[in-house]
Amino acid sequence: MLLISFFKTIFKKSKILFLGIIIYILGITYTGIAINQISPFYVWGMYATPTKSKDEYSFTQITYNNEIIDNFPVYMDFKKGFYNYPLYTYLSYEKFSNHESFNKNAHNKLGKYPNLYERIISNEKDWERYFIYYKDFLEVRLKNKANSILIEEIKINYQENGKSIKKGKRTLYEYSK
Amino acid sequence: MEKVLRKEKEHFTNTQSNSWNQFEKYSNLIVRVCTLWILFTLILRWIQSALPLNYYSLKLISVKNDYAYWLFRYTQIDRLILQNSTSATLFTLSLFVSIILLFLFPRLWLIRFNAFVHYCIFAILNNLYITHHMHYFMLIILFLLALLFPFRLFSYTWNAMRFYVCWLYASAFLWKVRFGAFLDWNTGVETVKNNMAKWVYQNPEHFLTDIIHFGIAHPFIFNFGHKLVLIAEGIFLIGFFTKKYDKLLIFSALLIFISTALFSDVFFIEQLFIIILLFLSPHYWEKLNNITNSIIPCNKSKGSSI
Repeated sequence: MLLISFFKTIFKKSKILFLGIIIYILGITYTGIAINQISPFYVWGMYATPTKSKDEYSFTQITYNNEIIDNFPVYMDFKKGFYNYPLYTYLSYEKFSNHESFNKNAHNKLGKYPNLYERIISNEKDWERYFIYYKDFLEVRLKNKANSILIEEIKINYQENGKSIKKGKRTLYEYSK
Repeated sequence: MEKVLRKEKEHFTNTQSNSWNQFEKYSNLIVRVCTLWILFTLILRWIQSALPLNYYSLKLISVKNDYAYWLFRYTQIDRLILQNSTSATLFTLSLFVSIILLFLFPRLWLIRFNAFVHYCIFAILNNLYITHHMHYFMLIILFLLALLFPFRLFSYTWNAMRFYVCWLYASAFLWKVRFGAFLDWNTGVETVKNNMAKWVYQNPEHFLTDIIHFGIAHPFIFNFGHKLVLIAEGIFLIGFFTKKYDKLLIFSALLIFISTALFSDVFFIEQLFIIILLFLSPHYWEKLNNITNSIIPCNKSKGSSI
């Protein structure tokens, strides 16, 4: 087997490299068993569970100074990430009653050490002020002062012919000068 | 007789050993091609305003359960870098310089270490502040990590990375088998419906939207395509046994990339190019080496000119 021959060669050639590779394998084995990623021991388990049919499919949309600013082609993935992911995190935060339950794992492990917890999680842990920060972020990023901002969660579904149909929307944040 | 057998065994072992060392001659070239790619992806991020100088105003973070992120937050490096536009710009500049230095002096360990540290900080900063565990950086980080070993071992670390990519896809396939996505027929069309909802809503007139509508109305297409893509991931298991089918693995990686880009809105271009390079045989590096040597002449006994 190619892999075994490789390990034999590495073992003979350099003990340091052999050890490095073994440590890395142990790392990815641990994170794989614990299903908890620790960079750089990544777990490649995305989309591993079945995706079930839903009544509605939701996403966010940002309208800035009356212009939709988050309609990106797929190759603008980097840009897209900065607009979308923080909003998705906010939506998941909404489902929790407080900051501690949102960061449950960190709170369980570091709750006894408030200073450490504070230092690691965030000083700006008040997610209620989320959109004040997000407005600053948009203004810096777009290099343009906001006259109006509308951030919505839009819900759609698909018809028999495959076409989408709007089911509803919810305003997450509205700002006007 | 015993002597002959021993000699044959030694010869066989040497041949095997040499086959793992066959990229040594092209170490400089490979590192520089990868470094150029890293620079290119950083420029792409620059164009898309996705560098620290563009997101210093982000305040809220998500540390997930990644202890590396916790450690990073404990050091407060992120606050130091993202406290204002000047510090964020300085770090971004320093990141570019570290990668350019790596291109110029790939054999200097301190330069390699410097590039590794810079890129790791950049990747963790990015993931912390977009509040998402993005995997796109992984192969570049792994490449820079591999460069921390002595440069004479580069060919072996390059082969180790090839095995890692086989693991990356094979494990993605095995996870899907273990947790049920592989055996769930409708996961294909449901993933498209979920991931492309924003696209079809915002681009109703686009031809890709028409294709997606057609595929949703005829779910067999997306469900069958999904299974094909999963099999393309599983094919990477072959890579642990032989290098004979490496071209097929390149094709599989391309198939996975194109299908997820079009129908799942995922674009892991940073990884893709390095994956392709990892499965190229020395024959292609020799060709590229000849081309670079013809452009930048050098002493042939030293190997590649760049």
